[in-house]
Amino acid sequence: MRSVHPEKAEQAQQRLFQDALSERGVIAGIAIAAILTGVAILVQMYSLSVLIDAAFLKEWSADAYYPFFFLLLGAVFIRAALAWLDKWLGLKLAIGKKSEYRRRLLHKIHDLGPVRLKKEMTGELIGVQLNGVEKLDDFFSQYVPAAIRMMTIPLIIFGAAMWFDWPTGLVFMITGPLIPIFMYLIGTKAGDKIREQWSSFRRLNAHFLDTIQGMDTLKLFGREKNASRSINNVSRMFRVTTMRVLKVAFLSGMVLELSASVSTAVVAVEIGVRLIEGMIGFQMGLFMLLLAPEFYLPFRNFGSAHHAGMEGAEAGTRLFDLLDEKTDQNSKEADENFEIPPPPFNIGLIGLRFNYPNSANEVLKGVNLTLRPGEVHTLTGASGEGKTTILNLIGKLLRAEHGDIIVNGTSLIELNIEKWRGQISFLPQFPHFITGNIADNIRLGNHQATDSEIIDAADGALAHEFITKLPDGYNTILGEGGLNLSGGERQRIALARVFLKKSPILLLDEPASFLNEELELLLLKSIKKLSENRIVLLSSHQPRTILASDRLSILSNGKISESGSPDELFPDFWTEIDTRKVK
Amino acid sequence: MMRDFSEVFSELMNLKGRASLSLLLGSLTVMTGVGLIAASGYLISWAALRPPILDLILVLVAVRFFGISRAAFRYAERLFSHDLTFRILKNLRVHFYEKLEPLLPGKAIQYRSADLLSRFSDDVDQLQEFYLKTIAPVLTALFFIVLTAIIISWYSQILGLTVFTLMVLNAFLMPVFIRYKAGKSARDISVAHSGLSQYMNDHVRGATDLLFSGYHREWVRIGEDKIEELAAIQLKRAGAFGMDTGLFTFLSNASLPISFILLLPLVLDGAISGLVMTAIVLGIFSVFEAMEPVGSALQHYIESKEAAGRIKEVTSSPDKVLKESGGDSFKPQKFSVVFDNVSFGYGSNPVIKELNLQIHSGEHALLMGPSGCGKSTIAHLLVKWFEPWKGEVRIGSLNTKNFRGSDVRKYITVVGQHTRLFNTSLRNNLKIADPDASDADLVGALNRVGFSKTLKKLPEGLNTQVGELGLRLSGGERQRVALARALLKDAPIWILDEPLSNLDREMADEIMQTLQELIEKKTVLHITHQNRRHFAVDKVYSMKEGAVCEELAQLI
Repeated sequence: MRSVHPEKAEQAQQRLFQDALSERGVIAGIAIAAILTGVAILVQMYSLSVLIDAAFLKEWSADAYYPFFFLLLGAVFIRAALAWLDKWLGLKLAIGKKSEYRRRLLHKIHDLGPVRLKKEMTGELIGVQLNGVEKLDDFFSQYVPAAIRMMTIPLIIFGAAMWFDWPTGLVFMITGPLIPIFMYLIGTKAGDKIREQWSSFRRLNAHFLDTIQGMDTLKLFGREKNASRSINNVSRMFRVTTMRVLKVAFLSGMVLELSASVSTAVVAVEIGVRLIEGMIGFQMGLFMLLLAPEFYLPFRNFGSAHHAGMEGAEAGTRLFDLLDEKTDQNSKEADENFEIPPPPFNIGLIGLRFNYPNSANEVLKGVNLTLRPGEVHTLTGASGEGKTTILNLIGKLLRAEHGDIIVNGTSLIELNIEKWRGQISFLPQFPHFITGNIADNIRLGNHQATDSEIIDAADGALAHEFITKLPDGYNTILGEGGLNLSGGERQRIALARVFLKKSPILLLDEPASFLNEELELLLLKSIKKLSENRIVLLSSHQPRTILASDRLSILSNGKISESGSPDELFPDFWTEIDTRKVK
Repeated sequence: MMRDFSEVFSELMNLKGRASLSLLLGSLTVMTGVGLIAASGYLISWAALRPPILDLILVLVAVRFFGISRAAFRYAERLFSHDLTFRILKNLRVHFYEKLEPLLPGKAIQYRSADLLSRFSDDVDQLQEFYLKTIAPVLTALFFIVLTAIIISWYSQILGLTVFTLMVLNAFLMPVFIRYKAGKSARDISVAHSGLSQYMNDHVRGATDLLFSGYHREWVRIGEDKIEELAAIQLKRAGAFGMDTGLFTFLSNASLPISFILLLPLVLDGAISGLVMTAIVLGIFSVFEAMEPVGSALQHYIESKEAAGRIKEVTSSPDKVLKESGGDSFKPQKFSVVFDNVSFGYGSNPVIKELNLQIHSGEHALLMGPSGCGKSTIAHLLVKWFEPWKGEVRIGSLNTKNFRGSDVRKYITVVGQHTRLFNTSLRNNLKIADPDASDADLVGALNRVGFSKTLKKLPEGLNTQVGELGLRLSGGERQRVALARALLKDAPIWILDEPLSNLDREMADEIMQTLQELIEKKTVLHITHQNRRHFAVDKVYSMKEGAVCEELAQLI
């Protein structure tokens, strides 16, 4: 986990708060519940003070107690019901917001597209979606309602105190606002200190994980036995530095507690003195005393929800970072509304240049290439030369900065992205299987396909035979927790999608890299059969695939260095290996 | 049920003095809180009788004392309990590190779970709070329930019993009841969660496959449905949580009318004075403060139990854990590497089958094959992360099986695809390879691997913090650090496991050049799936699925 910059965290916190306020209905509900709670507290404490006063100083008949007793009981019920409602509304707010963020993330991930996602580290993305969003729960369900209660309940109690007994109201007025001011002052001072030490904190605390994750490195250098001592030392350092900060950080909590309890004591003494002087009645005095802790309670609750606010801010920072990511590639482009020309296609790549963001060097430095239907065209070249980049550019997963891709006379930029992708079957180097069975996964090629069409497609991809040998055949579950297939088996199931879709353009990234010689040749025959009237572009560096293709283009230093039939080119390197094979 | 926590308890027992002190401070915090309210009530009741003000001095002092000391006790308690928590954490970390160390990295490789270790670390962190969030609140609540019941019974046994019941209900029975009520939806939530997580995994990792499937619109709709489904279940559970808060509020506030109505006859009879009644009614109400944290203690208990279970699963594995045996010191005369009919797999299926491979001392061999065909497994066996099922791995003429892994690894350097930099200074990262190296040695090594330009740019030179939380070095720079480490270790056998695959073309060419000079006199196994960018080698092995290993002709 990366650490979050404190300033960004503060911005995120404000944004989260604004997002919460936009849920007017729920927020109004929480506010109304808080106001009613304030009123219930007044009724509860007033009737209690009347009852105690009567028992203590007055000679009431038993009947006289009933109305106030039931008033007290009623106020307790209502207060409990409101607490229930308030909690439920807070959770409802949190659940609604979490769903909303999840939906936005879902669409964002879709809009970012696979090439960008790869860079964002897939594991972290899933983490943000699930854990990150879940961490916002306390922010919405605790922090926000606590803030609302803090802004309403003390005001009501203060109003009542001013109305019934202004000297006590004065004590509230003087000490009440002190609490947030103290909290702010000490909070920011502690905050500064924490911010100062934040990075060293994170480093010390992450040391344990860092050590166990790097165990292979430690062991390769024979340092695994020293690490135990270093964990001991670092953990101690972590404690010492953290405690130094907590000493300050807890001060804000202490000030809060102190002003609450000292003010209660001040109210008690002030009322006591006035009682002796006969300036106030006992019932009123007791009422005021009972109100004092209730006046400070919302502040204290807000203080303890503060932590939820901080955690939410941190989770929110990551979330907003991702949601704010610009989607330049796959966004709906205004100029892409052209209909797709009817197949068969001729595709021309003209002077295509591309470099990945944050990379100093261009991958493609002016690629020219013509793709015609009916021939199997293979791109070859060392890894990192940009074979996959070219496939991604044709599939509109990336957009070239310079140069153009022309489809039957129209620039690819102008073609509708979804319809264009409908014309393409794309086999990634490492295909993914969604959770489901083999048939579901092949059906991704064509959702309406019948069972027999699926079997035909699997047959074409040389997958049918091994699938039928599996205990559950086409119903074998794939994906997480499913059957572990070998690389070659995975490749052939993914290829079955291509055979099922039968689209006019096939882009296949290393389609036979996991297959043995025999299967590789059979598969190429099968692909060759499919290539009639279709554009087939493979990337490969396997000699047999290269030699079996109709046309070969060699990528080198960002350009097509040679292009022609394998017979014309005879790429010396690979044929040499193939012919001089020893066994 | 406490057996799961035996390790936490034994660490806690080592710190029982501090634990008792923190419990005492916690109790004093509650007591002074109750004392403040009760004394205040007593004060104003007495004042209502208009006694001479001097009679009140003692109560006045008590009110003031409680008013000030409560915050001080609370502050001290928080400091002490947190300090204790960090001490527990330290002991737990050391304890579990020592248990985990012999199992790694084999276990992590075997399970192929990227988050196995980060979950382990999170789980250890979870256990540190077992005292603070489970033991302490429960003990404090129990103490006050008993104490309050005893004191109140002095005045009224019925009230004592009633208050006891109310508090037990509030602190213990109600959380259990709510848990039980929420239990079913908690399971539903975890099912919905893992369903959504699976979906997200497919959504992210299968993005390409889905975009070209013509199915992606429907797919996104499915995701939205899953999100809604989770929200609906969570909303159901929200009802139970709301009830929890409502009931807690009710029970603690209901103590006011209940204690009043039970004390009223006693006051009217003159058995107790009105002063005492006020103090008791107000005091009982504020004891409920000590019950509040118990509700979440149950939740913490359950989470900690799960964490302890997962930790146990990792540390007490019945797997074929590599036993470090053989006391003989490993001193091969030559540095040839031989795999003789070796079979091995991580689960029940073999990854490599009857593999033969031979690299003579000082020879450079290239091993090619697609990802996932078992190339890296060969490296794992050579450095003894695992023992082969069958066959022998020999260095020189010695079967590595008979020697300690740590001794074998002294002769081997691995430069891999990802170089791990620890969250510490560049100096410490290099010194892993040679703790005795001087700064001059380190700079010398960095210069030789072409790092000098970068070193000049680093803000604090060798002191610069690198790694995850420090300065991020580029892929090429990291590989150079790896080479500098390798240089400092100066082992006779080098395994190069895709050292260039994360680099762009220009960078790969530069690193390759540097490497070429470093490995000149070494025995080298270069593993790659790439075709062209590799070194001048003496022999080439090609691997395919099923781990067939064929030797190809010499190149160049």
